Amino acid sequence: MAGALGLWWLIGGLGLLTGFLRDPRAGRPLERAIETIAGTSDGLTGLVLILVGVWALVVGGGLLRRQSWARVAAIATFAAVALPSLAMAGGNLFRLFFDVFNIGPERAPGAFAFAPPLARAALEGLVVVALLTGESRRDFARAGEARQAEVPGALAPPVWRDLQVLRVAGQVVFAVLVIGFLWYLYNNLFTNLRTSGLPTGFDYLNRPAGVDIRDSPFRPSQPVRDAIVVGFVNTIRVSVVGIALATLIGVLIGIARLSSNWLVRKFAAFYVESLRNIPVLVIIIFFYVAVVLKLPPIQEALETLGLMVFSNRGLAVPWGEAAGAVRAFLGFIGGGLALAVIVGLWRTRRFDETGQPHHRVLWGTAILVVVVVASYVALGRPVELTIPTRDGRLVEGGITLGPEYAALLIGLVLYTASHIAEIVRGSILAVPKGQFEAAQALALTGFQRMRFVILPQALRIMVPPLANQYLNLTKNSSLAVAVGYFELTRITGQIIANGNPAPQSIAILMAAYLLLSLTISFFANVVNRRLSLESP
Amino acid sequence: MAGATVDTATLEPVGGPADRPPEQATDPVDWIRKNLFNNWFNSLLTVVFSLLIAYVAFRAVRFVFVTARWEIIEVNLTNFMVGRFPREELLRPWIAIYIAALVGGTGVGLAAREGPRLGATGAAMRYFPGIALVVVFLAFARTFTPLLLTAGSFAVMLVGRWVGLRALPEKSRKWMPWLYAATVVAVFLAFAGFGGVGWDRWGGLLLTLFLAVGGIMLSFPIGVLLALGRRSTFPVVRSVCVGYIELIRGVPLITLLFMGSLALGFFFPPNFPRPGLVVRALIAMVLFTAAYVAEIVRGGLQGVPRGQTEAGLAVGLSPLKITYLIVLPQALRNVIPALVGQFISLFKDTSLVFIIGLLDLLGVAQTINSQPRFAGQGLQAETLLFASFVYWAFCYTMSRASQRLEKRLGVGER
Repeated sequence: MAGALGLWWLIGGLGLLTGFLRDPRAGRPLERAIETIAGTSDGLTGLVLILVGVWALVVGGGLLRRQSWARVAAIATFAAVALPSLAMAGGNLFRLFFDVFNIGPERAPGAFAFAPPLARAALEGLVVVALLTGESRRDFARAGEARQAEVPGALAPPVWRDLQVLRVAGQVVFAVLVIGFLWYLYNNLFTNLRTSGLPTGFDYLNRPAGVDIRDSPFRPSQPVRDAIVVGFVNTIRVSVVGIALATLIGVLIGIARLSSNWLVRKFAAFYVESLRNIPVLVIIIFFYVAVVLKLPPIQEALETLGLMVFSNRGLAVPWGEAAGAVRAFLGFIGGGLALAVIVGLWRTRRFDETGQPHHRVLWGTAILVVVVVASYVALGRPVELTIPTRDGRLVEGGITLGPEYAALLIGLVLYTASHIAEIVRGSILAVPKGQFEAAQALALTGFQRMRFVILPQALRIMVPPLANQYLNLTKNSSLAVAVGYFELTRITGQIIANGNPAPQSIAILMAAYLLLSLTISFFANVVNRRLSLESP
Repeated sequence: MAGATVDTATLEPVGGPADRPPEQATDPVDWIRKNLFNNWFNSLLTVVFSLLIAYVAFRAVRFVFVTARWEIIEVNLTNFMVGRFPREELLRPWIAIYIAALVGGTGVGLAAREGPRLGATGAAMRYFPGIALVVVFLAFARTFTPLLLTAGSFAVMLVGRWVGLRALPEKSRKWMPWLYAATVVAVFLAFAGFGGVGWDRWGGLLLTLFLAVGGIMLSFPIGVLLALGRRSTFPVVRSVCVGYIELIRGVPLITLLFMGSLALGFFFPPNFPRPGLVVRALIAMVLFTAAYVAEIVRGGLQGVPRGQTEAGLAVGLSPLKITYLIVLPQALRNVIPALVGQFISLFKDTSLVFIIGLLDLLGVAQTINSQPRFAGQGLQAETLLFASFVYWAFCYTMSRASQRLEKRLGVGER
């Protein structure tokens, strides 16, 4: 370890030296500050800085073993003095690597000039925080004290074999390597963007997007920012509907796989085993080009059961249409739900206190139905169910899902349902057999067995993998890019094609998906905690 | 609704219906009554599903054998296999297949020394998707050469199996990992070595397999390092690894592929020779898969009892040695089935490279529809079904092999 460390310092020092000697630029604020600290300003800076770093490590390591205030002081000194130089050395190390192998012979000037002070501050902050809060370090320190107390007069190990020092040094080396690498990438990115005349910041978000989004009031003259928001909303739209439908179908198929009916069982198994093993992208494209687009043209649209109109322009299904005070109606529904929950809680408490049957589902549903029906009548039918009808080349009423949206939704739902079915089946099978037998011994009926004994336990097993599938469905909605539904990825692709910088756009794209993923994970964790046996 | 039909007879904790011992020989009428018409609800389901299945089967059979125009597959079979691989170099894929058949047969033979034998019918039953795949490929071939060459490769595989089963000494087992590694190199050289064809001209199934195999092999070491880093006691190392893994797992693969195809070039030094699209796609897939492999390996590491580490400490091993001599071998053995699952997932995910413009299996299936001979005729159903079948056969075979492996390794039984 110590040998590797020394070698690293040697290489780092060489890198630092060559970096400074080869680079014609000088006099940037941070470098100048370091040079001031180190007291030199010529090509020997690197060497001096390395010596300072070694000194800080040795002295800091010595102090580390004594008192905590001294430890803090040592770390602070170390961080302030040695780290910037080490970070620079790390950055230069990568440059040296490329120079030695003669990749990138002509570096554009100013590769390091744009390195934000933030990166350095972040590095130092990270290392200091890590050093001060490291659990394991404290453990080691405690063990060391105990050892010294047991063996009076025991010799402390030399610095280069002292575990505490080595641990700190190892982490510093790691942090320097990582930050140096990121720094190196950042500089390349910056230089490349500059030289290709692309914006280096995020100002392009205010420029007109020039993207035409179908089925949306979005106009191409609106800024890029708004286009991204439209895409984000469309992603959420397909994800939420997809999650609901996939759960429904998946649960049905999962239960069908356990049916006592041989035919149903085999059919469900066939469904799962065939769809699970085909890429979801192939399924989506298949439904787009070989099913939805192959539907008859609008003039000869299929009108199924008089309820739906299917054509290659999209699938029209019945839908509620606003015909008055929709918001008030929605408000009433919300209020009714809240009331139902409150009554349910009250019934639960009554049950706990008196032991009367709670019937909370019955009470809650009844209240909700009463509120909804009453407000529906009172507000004068605020929502009307309209059934799509074809009138020549137009479809009136209902809601029309565009062919891209329909294909994407069908593909995602069928694929994810096959995975959810396996989860449902596995979770039900994972409930110990004794639970069934106990329920039977209590003479519960089939429904009661499932509702009160099996499903609550299966649900507990089911939640984490199910949340994973929801995450996958959300992420897979990005495959809309292949069929042309305007969600986040597709719109970002178009924005990049319109000459906006790719790195920033993709960074925004990733951040948006990360946000969605973290939101789903958060809710999954909440549910999981509620269901788990031992609450933390 | 159908929840009420679940009865305890089918709810066995292990295996499921497929793995149960064969039914006792009973009266067929009895069997039908018990399995299809045991109550009114099941009778109704049976009738409804019979009609549904009959309809679907009728449509499917009629499409496959009557209305479908499979000549688009026949004409383009070589495109499906290797894409734009130069036709005068087609011997190279066959050499690769022969090498893989020989070594694979040897491995199978060695593995067959212990444990219950499947027998020829058992193996055929278990690997029927793979066999069906070969049969379909040969059915679409228009000459006899592929048939002869395939038969030859099967013969070579049987020779390899015999060698593995009977001829090799027992201690040769420990050399097998090296042999596999050498095989991968040899297969790669068969394609690209000796004045061969660079991967920028690979396509079709070959590209799909290259991306999947290359992706899992390159991401494995990175994934192991990330998993070790995530369990490290160094806060800095741990936070970096956690950050990377969670970032990658939170975004879809396609964003990384976009990054690879559109933005990766910006991160290289100026004037750096830009790697080709295949390499950039591979980089994106490796970065993506590494995070998932890391989580799998972490699961394996957590499954190794703490006493193992303590035993290592007790005999005075250094932490590094404890990791690679004691903990890692046990952890990796436990995660092999999960890694196969990840490989299947990666194999399916390679279809995404079509979006960034590579001609993999899906890419070929889509682009051949614009050939002058087939343009505008709407044969996408045929090409996509063929591609789906190839994907399905590979994934299904692998997942069955993985189940078998899981049983053999006894994962979860200790």
